[in-house]
Formats: sequence, structure tokens, C-alpha cells
Amino acid sequence: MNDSIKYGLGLMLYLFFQVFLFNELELFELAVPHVFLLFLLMLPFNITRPSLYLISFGLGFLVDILSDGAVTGLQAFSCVLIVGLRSGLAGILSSSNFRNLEDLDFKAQNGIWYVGYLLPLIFVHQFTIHFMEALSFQNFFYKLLQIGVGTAFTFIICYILVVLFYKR
Amino acid sequence: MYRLFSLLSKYRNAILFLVLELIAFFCIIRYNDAQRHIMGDALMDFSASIYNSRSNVDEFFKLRSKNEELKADAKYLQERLAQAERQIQAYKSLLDLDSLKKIDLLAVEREKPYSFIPAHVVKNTVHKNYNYIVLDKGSEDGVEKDMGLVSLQGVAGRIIRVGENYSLALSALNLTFKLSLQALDDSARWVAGTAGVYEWNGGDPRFAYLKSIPETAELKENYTVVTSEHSLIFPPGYKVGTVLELGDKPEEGFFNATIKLSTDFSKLDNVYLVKSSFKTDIDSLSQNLPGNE
Repeated sequence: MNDSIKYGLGLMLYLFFQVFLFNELELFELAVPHVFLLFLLMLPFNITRPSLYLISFGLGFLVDILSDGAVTGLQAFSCVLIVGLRSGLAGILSSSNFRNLEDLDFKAQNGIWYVGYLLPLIFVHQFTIHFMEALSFQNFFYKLLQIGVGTAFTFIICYILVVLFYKR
Repeated sequence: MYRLFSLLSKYRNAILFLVLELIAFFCIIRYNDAQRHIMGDALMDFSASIYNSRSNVDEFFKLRSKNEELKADAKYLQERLAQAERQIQAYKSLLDLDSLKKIDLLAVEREKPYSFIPAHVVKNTVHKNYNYIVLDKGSEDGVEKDMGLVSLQGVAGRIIRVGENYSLALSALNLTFKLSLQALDDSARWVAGTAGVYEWNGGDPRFAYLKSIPETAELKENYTVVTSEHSLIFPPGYKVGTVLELGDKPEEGFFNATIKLSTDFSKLDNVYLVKSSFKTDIDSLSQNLPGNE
């Protein structure tokens, strides 16, 4: 019960800051940081798969609706995609240390683990939103630049938040 | 049955994942204009084939009335042909009298500047602001983008997208459809200076507007409105409608008129695509002109 209130508040905070703060931070007019992803990626691993998918679909959809000029359904699509990939990635990264992924403690992980965990998923998210928006591979290299800048920008902010709030 | 359920419950996470992704993808291509158009191209052929099978069934029950309509069309065409033959004969005899002018009339008769591809309307709407017509002829039948679309009664639209076996036309009942027109008087002679622009404002599919006619034009009610001599995609002088009433003057020196369309869009069925033999020529000439990217 305590946990669900905590995560509910967290969700609202991430949504609020994404919509009113991070959506306005446009770096070189190339990319916007999608910091709300961190909420989904830092949900505990003992949460059931169906609720994880539904939460990420809902959060993605809310961000879609509340952002100006966004493509409806785009964030929902890519959020569900990356939470589908996250336990597989975490399993690979932690295979030597943990038998059971459900016991994984975010606080105990080191910086390299976070780089390996956050960076690929943020990249997949950026890649998906850019190419799903265009539904084609036209302007491939410009898109790649946008994806690169967006990934780096999102990752740096997420990593700072991890250091401040999640790590011991 | 039990095994089916156990299989479903075994993969329930994957199924939920796929269902959510499909819902999101559907939202992307359904509720966003740009993405809808991209997918629209790909889906057009598919959805048109479904409409086609539905209209095939429909067709079967309408065969009798279709037959009557075609007979009426044939009768009209034969009358026009006979009339045209008489005119040709008359001009020939005139020229024979005036032997100074030796025009090779036979050559004029032989050349066919416009050819027509008969097509069949698969889907058509009239009640929206942006109406489109789907036709059962595509690039394999020689359809190209920007061909004109006419029925025997009058102008119907313009091709905007071509699939392999189907094509999509902008209906003349579409806010974006524009066409330059001219008027013919009661004895089918061009009325000087009556050039105007065709526009449809939404609403009643039987009427449209002729806009920006110079004030000096001697336009009268019941004059026939036809495609302009300078049209590239329609044969000049193809019927569009008749002037119903002369209208207001939105700006100095010009006035508008309401026209009654001669095409009955609600019953549009047998149509013809206009292939102009010199359009490709003119297009290639006007390519690479400065300011014409």
C-alpha cells in the first residue's frame, strides 16, 4: 500500500515535470529529453508484467496527449516496447550477480551497470519515436543525429537523477 | 480446450504486449494526419479491393437499371456523333468552295488528342467537405496522376493517387478542387471573357460556384459552363454544368455565379479517365523552369 502511493506520486511528478519542464528544453532545436522514461525503468522488478505494460502504456499515452504537437500513440508505443526489453537487458547485465531478477536492488548497482541499463533502452526509445513518426527511413542521417543528441541529453539528465535519488 | 487456455495463459504477457503495441500503432496511424496519409497509400489498394468485392455484389442487383442507363448513354453519344459528322461535312463543303485554303482535314480527323479509359467507381462520397472517388483502374491500365475524370454528363474529378489496380481521385465535390471554366451561349458558341474558377463550398452536392468572373462578361442564366480552352487535363469545352443564378460581387470588377452541376455525383458509376496526348509534352517542357520546382 505504502509502495503504491509512493509510485503513484512518483508517476505524477514525472508526468508533471516532463510536460511542463522537459518538453520545453529543446537542445539545439534537435531533441527533447524524455526523462519520464526513468520512472518506468526504475519500477521494481517484482512488479507483474501485465501491470508494468499497462502502466507504461498509460504513462506514454498521457505524455502523448499532454504534449503540444505530439503524435498520439507514439510514446505509448515506444514505452511499452522498452519496458518489454528492460528485464531481458537487466538479466544480461546482472547474470553473474543474481539468480533471481525479482530480487534486484537498484540501490546496490554501480555506475557502469546504470550506463549499460539506461543507455541502450533510451536509445531504442529515441530510435522508435523518430522512425515511427516518419514511418520511413528518409533523412536517415539527420534522424540519426537527432536520435544521438536526444539519447545523450536524456541519458545525462536521467543519470544525474539516478545519482541524486536512487543510488545509495 | 484446456490446452488452448493453458497456452493462452502461458503467453499472456506476450499477448498483452502485442495488443498494447497494436493499439498504440493504430492510434499513430489513425489520429495523426501525416502518419495516416503515409499508411493511407499502403492501405489504399487493400481497402479498395474490399470495396470492390462489395460493389460487385451491389452491381449484380443493379444490372437492369444499369443497362437502361447505358442505352441512354449510347443514344446520346450516337446523336452527338451524327451531329459532329454533319458539322464536319458542312465545314468540308465550305472549304471546298473556298479552294484557297487547303487544310489537310483528313489529318485533323486522324489525330486524337484525347483518349479515354473507361473506369468504374468503387467508392464515392458526396456528403463530406473533402470527397474522394476510388476507381477500379490503376497504373497497370495506364492511369497516371493528374488525369482528368469525367462522366458522360460532365466533369467529375482529378486523379491524385495511383495504385497498381486502383486509383484515387479528388472529387469535384472537394473544397480543394479548382478548375478554370468558360461559358457557352445558347447556340454553343464561346462567350468572350467569361473565364472563371470552379469552386465547391461544401454542402449541396448538386451545386457549385463559378468565381472571379470579370464584370464585363456577358454571362446569362442557363448558359452552359464548360472546361476552359487552356485546360491541360480536360478536353476543352467539356460540360460542367449550367448557370443557375448570377451572384454577388465579393470584390471590385468581379462577380460569382451559382452553377448546377450536370454530373449526378450520388449516382456516379461509369466514368472515363482523360488521357491527353500532349500533356506529357507540356509537362516535360515546363520542367526545370526557374521557380517551378
